[in-house]
Amino acid sequence: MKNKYLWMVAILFFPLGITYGAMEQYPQKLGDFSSFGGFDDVYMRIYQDANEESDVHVESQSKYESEILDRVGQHNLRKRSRASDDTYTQQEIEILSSLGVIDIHKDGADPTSSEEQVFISQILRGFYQYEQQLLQFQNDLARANGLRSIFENDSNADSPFDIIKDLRILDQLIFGEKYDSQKTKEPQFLVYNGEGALSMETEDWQDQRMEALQEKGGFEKKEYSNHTNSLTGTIAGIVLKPLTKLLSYSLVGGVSTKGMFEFSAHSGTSQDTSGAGGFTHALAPPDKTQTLSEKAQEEGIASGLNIAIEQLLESNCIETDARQERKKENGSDGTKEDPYLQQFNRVGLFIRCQDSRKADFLSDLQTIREKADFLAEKSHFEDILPRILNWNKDLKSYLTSAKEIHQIFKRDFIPKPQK
Amino acid sequence: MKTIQIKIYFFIALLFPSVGFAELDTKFREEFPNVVKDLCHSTLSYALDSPFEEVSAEYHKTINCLFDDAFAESSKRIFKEVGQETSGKGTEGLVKAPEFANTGVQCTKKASEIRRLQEANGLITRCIPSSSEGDANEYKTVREPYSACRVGEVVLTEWCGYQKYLWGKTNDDASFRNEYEKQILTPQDWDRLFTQQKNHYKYESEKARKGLLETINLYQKYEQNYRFHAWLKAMENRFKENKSLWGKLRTVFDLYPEKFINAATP
Repeated sequence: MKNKYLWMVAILFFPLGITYGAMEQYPQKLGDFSSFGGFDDVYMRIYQDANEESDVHVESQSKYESEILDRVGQHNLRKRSRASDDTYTQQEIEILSSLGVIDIHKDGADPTSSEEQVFISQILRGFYQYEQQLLQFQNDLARANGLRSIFENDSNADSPFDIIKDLRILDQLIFGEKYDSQKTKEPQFLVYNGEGALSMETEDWQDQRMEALQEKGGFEKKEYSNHTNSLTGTIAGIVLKPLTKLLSYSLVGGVSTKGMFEFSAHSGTSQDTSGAGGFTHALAPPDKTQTLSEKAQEEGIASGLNIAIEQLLESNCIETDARQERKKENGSDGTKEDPYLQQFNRVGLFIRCQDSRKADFLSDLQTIREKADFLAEKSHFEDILPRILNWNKDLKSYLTSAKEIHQIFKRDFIPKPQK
Repeated sequence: MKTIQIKIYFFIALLFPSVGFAELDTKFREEFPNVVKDLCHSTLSYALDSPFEEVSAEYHKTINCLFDDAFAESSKRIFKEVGQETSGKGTEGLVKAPEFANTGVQCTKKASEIRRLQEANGLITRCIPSSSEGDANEYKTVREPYSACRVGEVVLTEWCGYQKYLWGKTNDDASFRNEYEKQILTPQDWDRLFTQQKNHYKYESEKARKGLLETINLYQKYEQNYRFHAWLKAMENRFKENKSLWGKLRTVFDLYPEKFINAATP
């Protein structure tokens, strides 16, 4: 089946004049995951989508094939019809000659020979595999991050409910305005300066207010009991108690689950995906300090993919460098491959490992990782939980303010009994 | 004693996968389904001579049904809990438990039933709270039958069996020979086909592993977020009852510094 792809690529792109220009930006993949739909047959849909980029067994054409071919085209492999123009440009001749690909100057070799066809198809195959792996990496990240955020992305387009939307409704109900606009309209009436006078200048109303009140004495920081019937205690209970309970439901690791995520963290280092590695799951009990979520995010998805992409880099560069080293040591090629395959390896080295291209590739990877990190930051613990805790603080501030106002009224407006 | 011997043999085989298992031992091949069941406690049968397509389809159907059942049951339970705790008021506006279309797939066993079968096969597992170690109440909460932990354990137990089956198929050319014995092939074609088939088993193993891992992650997010959603809706409904009072309170607070700024000086 691989031969089928190889010939398909060769037919599509052959004959070619090859120039090496700046690689265009890869199409953006992250954030495109928007139409997950309902939850019926959810496993089958995810399974069928996983690793489809590298499916070489199915008879039907992979849905990613045209995208991969488009990406191969982005390497500026300039298409040129031999029928209309059967000569290489001077620049192309210089590049090909400098690489030792084909000695056009010396022997005037026929550029359409079958040997050249094989050679060019090998180059294209290399590009194809390179783009295939990179696309798989991008799709893995997009899918993992997409699935992780569909309930928390302020949109009901991709899920039946959304926590951010729920929070917005509550913002409106409790504070009369949306969370985003609160900072510009902070009340400033109960902030004291160091001399005990009211300050109208500070923007950090809430935090400074609590500190100022504590400094004045009589307003100690209170720990509200969930068991009292006071309004403050009830609100503190409403906000925090269910959260604690909620978090205890899912963030637990079972024995097999622990093993699965451990296995996945190391799978990138071994080609044996169905062998001994799988048995580790039955042995060790879960590490109680590490949650399932952390495992999934830090190791199951991110590390596995990072290892995979680092391996991709190594296989494209270091292995070839090692072959060069063997050449120096042995005074020979260190390989028994045919001459055109050797040429292909030299071209591969040129394409993938020259500094500028490697830098481009690493830059692309960095961009992908940063975006993944950015999306991860919008996860539950870094986005929603602090917001709920801020609510809690705001509500407490409301109530403490009410108490303060009540005391001012009591002191200044309610007539004191005559002695 | 016999089972222990087989286990030892199987472990040695796994520890040295490159030692040469082009031809798996006949006895081992025969005992393979029982060995897998002993090791993994999975419920499906994995004979090496069973056609790959059939076994694979059965496994994926089982996992798909497990997740469909878990999504539906978990949501129903949460919906019911919120309704009970709030006398029905908390469920207003709450997204109802999803209705599953089960497009063309006939699910005969529920997740709870498969779990019972796994336990009958010897599965012993546990879910441990991530915090408050030893807290009896928290431990009780994770005994929830459709918690992400429980569901994760059930599907991974099934995965364990399927994974071993794929390993066996990759290392056993006897079943491959049986499958293609009617075809007349040259030795070169035979080698090429067998290599291609091995690569496909490896590909399937990685694809199935990734699909399962991502679905477990999604289920965990769903289960947690649906609880969160239910709680927020219940809270919203409570606040709605006193909406006008909250509005008045805010109005008074906002007007106070403007109207009584001098009075507010301590």
